[in-house]
Amino acid sequence: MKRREFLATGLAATSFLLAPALLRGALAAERPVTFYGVKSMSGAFASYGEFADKGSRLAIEEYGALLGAKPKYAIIDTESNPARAVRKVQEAIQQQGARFFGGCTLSSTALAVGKEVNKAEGIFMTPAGADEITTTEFNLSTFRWTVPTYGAIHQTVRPLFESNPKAKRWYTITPQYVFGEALLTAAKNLFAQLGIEHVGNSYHSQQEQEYSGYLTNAMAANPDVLLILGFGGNGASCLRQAANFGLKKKMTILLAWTQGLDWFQSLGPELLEDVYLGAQYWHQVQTPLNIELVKRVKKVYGINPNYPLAGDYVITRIVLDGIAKAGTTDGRAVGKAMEGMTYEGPTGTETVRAEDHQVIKDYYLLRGKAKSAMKDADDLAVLISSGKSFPEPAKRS
Amino acid sequence: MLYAFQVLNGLGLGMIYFLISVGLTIIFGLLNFVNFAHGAFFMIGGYLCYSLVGWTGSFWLSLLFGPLFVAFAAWLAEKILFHRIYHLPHTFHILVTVGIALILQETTIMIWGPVGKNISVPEGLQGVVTLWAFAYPVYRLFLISFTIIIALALWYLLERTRFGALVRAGSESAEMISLLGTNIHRLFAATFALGVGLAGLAGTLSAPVRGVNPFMGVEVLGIAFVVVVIGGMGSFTGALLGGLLVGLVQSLMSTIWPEGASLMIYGAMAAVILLRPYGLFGRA
Amino acid sequence: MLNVDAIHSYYGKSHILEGVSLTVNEGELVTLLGRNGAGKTTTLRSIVGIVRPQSGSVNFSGREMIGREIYEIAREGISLVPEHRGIFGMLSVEENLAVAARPGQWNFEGIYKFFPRLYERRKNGGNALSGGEQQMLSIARGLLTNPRLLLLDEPTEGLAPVIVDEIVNALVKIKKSGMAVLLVEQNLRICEKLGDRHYVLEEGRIVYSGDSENFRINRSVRDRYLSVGV
Repeated sequence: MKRREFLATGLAATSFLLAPALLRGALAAERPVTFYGVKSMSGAFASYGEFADKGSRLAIEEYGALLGAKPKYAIIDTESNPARAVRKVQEAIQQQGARFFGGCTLSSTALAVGKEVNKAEGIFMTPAGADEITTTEFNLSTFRWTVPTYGAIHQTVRPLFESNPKAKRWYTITPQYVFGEALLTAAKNLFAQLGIEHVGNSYHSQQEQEYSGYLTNAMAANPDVLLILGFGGNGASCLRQAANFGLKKKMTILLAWTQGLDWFQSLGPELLEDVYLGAQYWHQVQTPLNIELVKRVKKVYGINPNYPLAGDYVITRIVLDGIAKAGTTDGRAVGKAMEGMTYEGPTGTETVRAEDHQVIKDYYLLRGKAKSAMKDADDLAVLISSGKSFPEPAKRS
Repeated sequence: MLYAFQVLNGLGLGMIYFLISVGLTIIFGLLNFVNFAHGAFFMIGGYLCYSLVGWTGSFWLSLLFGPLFVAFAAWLAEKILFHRIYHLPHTFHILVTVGIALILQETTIMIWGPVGKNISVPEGLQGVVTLWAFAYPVYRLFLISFTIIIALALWYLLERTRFGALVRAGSESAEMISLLGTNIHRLFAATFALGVGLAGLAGTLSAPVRGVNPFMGVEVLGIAFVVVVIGGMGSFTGALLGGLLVGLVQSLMSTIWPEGASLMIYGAMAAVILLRPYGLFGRA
Repeated sequence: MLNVDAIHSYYGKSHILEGVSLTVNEGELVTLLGRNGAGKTTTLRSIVGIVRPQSGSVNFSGREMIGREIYEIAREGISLVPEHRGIFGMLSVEENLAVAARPGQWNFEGIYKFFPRLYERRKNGGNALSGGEQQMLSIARGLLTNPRLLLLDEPTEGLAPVIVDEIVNALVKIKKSGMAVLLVEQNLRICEKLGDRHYVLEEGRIVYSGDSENFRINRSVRDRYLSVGV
């Protein structure tokens, strides 16, 4: 090859290689940032997705300019199915250059999506609950807003026990899979610390409908407190049947992990009265952001915000703020900017812990209200206590 | 003592399972029709209970009208669609009825939303009865008694009335009872409505115990088929004993080995089929 | 009363009946003979609606039966006692009779007088009956529908001679009662004894039709179309 041709080819090749980087830099400032909401809009968790979507939309609506243009919102429907969610996220990354994601109800979906986004060096923030998200499955792209199992147990069991130290006998009913086991382990450890007698445990499968057997076991153990670790449909069925069996009169019932308002609404005050309930969010909590959020959600959607809505709202805000703070859409830079970020969230002042990307926030202990005591249709529970409990962050590799 | 209690509970569960399954087995026995929409009608029965209780405030009215409406809907479905496919192989029955089940499920989600609903136990049946150290809900005792009465009434219908004799005879040969002058279209339609109506009744009765959710039909369909396979297709006694067996296994397992409760049900089914391939009371 | 006119019946693509015609008049007992596979059972099934002829006509008391439902034809007054008897094994004798019962001159009392053995066994399950008792039950059941025309498909097949005689006596009495009967039989002796007229079916076609006198003297028909040794 002649020297002239060689130089020309070399120059062309180098330009070709550099072009994307140059382009990205050039476009990053002018093209609006798109935030991708990964929500379960259909399938078993469609109701959750509907509220989560509303939360993200609200955050995007109110956001001013981000890096020179108003941010955009795109939706990815997980169909309540991890495999499908991952495929759609991959497509968005490859075909649309998507980098910023928020959502996922199921932990299995969140873990899978988080891995994909990390490969693309984007940002993914989720309210999913599994402990692994910030420990064994930690990656630089994934951030988590929800309080995991340790905090859920410590912020419910401890205050309940301390308000009634004579209630020493506790029985647990646990869904048998990783998440349930994690709740149970945290509970057992805390029981040991507090001197609570763990008089027995019944495991049940996630598909369980019939709790009479387990409740009979519980009755036989004669506990002071029944700690139900199932949630969603499991928690609802277990609680309903426990009430039918008259257990509410015989012992205190605590559900450590509930979804909050929308779940309370489907059960009703007769069932919830005097039942202790752990929650990630409660619309009646008086923090500066929450008061504003409730007002705005009432105005725009005509309802009180619930956990899916509030959670995905603040997640969207945090990610957008992270991009603003970093001043770039480079995923790793945004991630670095988010680490250590402190802000006013729905539960008060919240911090994104740098070591494991876990948001340090309050978890609530609520108690169901009698129908006669309700001031409005959503006044289903009263706040008993709140606080922050988190284990030490796992060492990053 | 705990075991005695679990046995009582298991019998109660078993009666509900019987109610769900007996319709399925009668329909298969007479119509030779595999109805995978059976669970969906159970679900409709539950949701109708929820709505009717919401409108009228009366559980008893729901108990009366819910199953009747389900039976009517089944009768319509049979007249419009199902009777056209009886002559097709079973796989086609499954295809069509699964489709119907999905349509019903999605329609339910459209009307009532995807989240489960709660129904209160009717007044007068609330509270518990104390047996030794244990409390047993009054409503569940009512459930057991009511289903026993239904079972007896059903037995009487099948064994002591002309209609019942026609259903049993038709299960052996629909052609023969046709030759004897019986309008089998009407017989099939009535039997189908009866069988599915029973599933609707089961749904209405179990709503205060389990609540309702759009996927409850699928859950219950699995149990119903296990019961029918154990008891033998087309056998009333089989559905009764099969239902009780499954109820007992489920209840006892929750004490002995809770993780394996579902597994043991299928294990019991496998054991029965190995010994008697057509089920306890089935015929070839 | 019954006028079958040139019916063609098929099983799938097999052309079984190739233009079969026959008649049965009020009070007559007509027999239909032929070798195995000639199409005798198909003829009966074509009359009662189990098989639908592709062409021709089945006219009963002035009404066309082709295309009508089996139970409709049964309700018109045609009753088939099928080849395999069709007893409901899991029902009792009484119940077998009960599902057939229709108003008319034949009732339970009369049937039990007619077949005393059935009265003795009335609570027994259909499966517990002997072959002969099942045949009696099947005939009794057919009668209880109070038909105007009774079709019988080889009622004596596979039965011991003693039982056969009982069945034949019953058929004599049925004939005496004035009922019209179309009897498919391979047993020549029985046909000669009971029949007013006879048809012979061979490979889906009627090859002979004649009254009892003619049938008795017509040797060639027997030799050509009927099995040796009947």
